[in-house]
This record gives sequence, C-alpha cells and structure tokens, in this order.
Amino acid sequence: MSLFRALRPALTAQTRRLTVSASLNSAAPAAPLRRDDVMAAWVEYFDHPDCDYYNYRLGAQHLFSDDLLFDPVVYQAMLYACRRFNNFPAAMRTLELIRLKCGDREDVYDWVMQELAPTLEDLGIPTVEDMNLHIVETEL
Amino acid sequence: MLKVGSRRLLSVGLARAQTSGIIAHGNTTGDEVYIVGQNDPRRNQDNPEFNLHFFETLHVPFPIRPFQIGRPGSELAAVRAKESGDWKDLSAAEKEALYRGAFMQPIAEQQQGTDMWKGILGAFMLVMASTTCLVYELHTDVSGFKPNQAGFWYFWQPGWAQTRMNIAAENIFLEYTGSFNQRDYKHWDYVNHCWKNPKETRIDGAD
Repeated sequence: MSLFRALRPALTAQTRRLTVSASLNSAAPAAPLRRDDVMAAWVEYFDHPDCDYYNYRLGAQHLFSDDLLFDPVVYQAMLYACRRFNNFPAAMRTLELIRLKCGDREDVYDWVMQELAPTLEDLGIPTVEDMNLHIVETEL
Repeated sequence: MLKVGSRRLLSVGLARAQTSGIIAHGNTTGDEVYIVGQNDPRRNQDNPEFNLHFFETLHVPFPIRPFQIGRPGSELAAVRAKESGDWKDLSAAEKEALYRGAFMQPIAEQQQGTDMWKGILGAFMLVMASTTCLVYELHTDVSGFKPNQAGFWYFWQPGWAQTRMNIAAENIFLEYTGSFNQRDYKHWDYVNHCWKNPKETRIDGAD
C-alpha cells in the first residue's frame, strides 16, 4: 500500500492528458510534408470535378502567392481545369502568372513551357508570346 | 529608363489604369494614370458593356467578375458561346476578344512603371540646393565665418571662448535687451571678474 501511494503521483503525471487542442498544437507532424505530396495534392485539387472558377481562383491565389515554382503537372492540371469550366482568359492569365513567377530565369520559363507544350497543343491555348501579352506597347 | 533585359528598373509606382469598380463605389480617386493607347477607364465606363463589379489588381490577378459584361446579342456574347466549344476552332481575334473581355490589362501592363521618380528626384535636388545656398550664406554673411576658418563645429575653434566673452561684455555694456539678448551678465561675477558658475549649463536666451 505504501509502495502504491509512493508511485501514484508519478503514474498520474504520466497518464494525465492535456486538452485535445493543446496536444494538437504542440505535437509535431508524424512525417514532414514532402514536395511530391504537395504537388499531388494540388493536382488533385485542380482535377476535382467540383473545381469551378471560384475554387480555381482560390487555389491559384494561394499557389501564385507562394514563393515557389510548382511542378508543370500542377500547371497542367490548372489548364485542364480552365478547359473544364470553359474559361479561356483564366488559362491565359495562368500562363501570364507562370511567366511572371519565373522572373529573370528565362531558362526555367522555357523549360516549363516546353513541358506544357503538349497540353497547350491539346487544348488549343496559345502562349503568352503568341498573343503578345508580354509586350507593353506604350513606352513612357 | 534603366533596363535589364526587357525589365524596367527604378520605377516608382505602377502605370496601371485604376479600375474604380465596386470597391471604389464607382468614384475615381484622382490617382489614376491614363496612358494614350492603353485602356482608359473613363472611356470604358461609357461602354454599356463595362462591368462595375470588375476589379483587377496585381495582387489579385483573377478578377471575380469579367471586365466586360457581354450582354445577350453582343459580339462578346457570341464569342463566349463559342468558348464552350473546342478552343482550337477559335481564331486569334476571337481569343484576343475573349481575353480583353475578361481582363482590363495584361500582367505586363500592370507591371509597367512610370517616370515619376525623375520628378521626385528633381524636387529633392532643388530642396537640397536651396538649403545648401541658405546655409552657406548664413555662415559667411551672417555669422561672418571665412572659408577654412570655421566649420560646422565652429565653437571648437581657438578664440571662441573669448568671442563669447566679448559678446557678453558687449551686451552688458549696451544693456542690450533685444529679442536675441544673451543676458550673460546675470552669470558674471563683477567682484571677482569671472563667471559665477562656469560649469553651469546655460542655454542662450533662456534667462
């Protein structure tokens, strides 16, 4: 009995649980998020049949606000989503933002467009350069 | 304009035609930049197809509502009807019409800078030049400093203590009570011919 009383405080300290939210906030994730998982999640998001223009612009806002250039499969999924809800300007704006996101890295932009070339040919989408959207006509 | 590649550097502000849409309640702010040859919001608001709910920002690149309404029977409505079909059947002009009907400015135009920095720099240099002239005239004509004889910390030069005592004596002698009165005689010991409390902190004109 005396032994049990001596051990009891230690046992309660070990078995006592905090609230659920505290454990959730303090707990580390079981496994770190990998890049491939992120890309797959975004592809699944844009490939979802319920992804309309509302969800598309939410996801695109999040995607292009991130300081990251995503894999071409994500942009491919975005273009096919634009095709699904019949929004051609959104597809062009997506290509514009890809070009904006590449910045000075023209080699990266060329690579992304090379990867997207079959998609553009399949959907009948011109490039930004085809529509001359990269040219500012008025010189200040 | 300084450019690297096709990019414009040293640009202040954006030459973006501000869309006074539902967020601005249709009112112009006065900060709009109108460029000849580019989209003019005033001209566009005369268009019956103009959509007041349209608002486009570089930070929100996908507008909720399209730029032009595309009322039934209009050319834009016909093109948008063709948009549901195969996009390969659309001509380049129809694709351009679709894009211009949805957006006011491409990203490249939204990124375009202005030359306002030149005016700002010019005004700044004017202020700096006139201030320099004023300071120089104050040092030479008013304070009587000669070149290479006194600098910014003029009170470190030899003889400045004597100059201050001369000024004090002059004030005492003339019983000067003007607006720039130093009133150092309050601190002068006439009996011992020295300052009463030399280490006391005194501010000119304070008492």
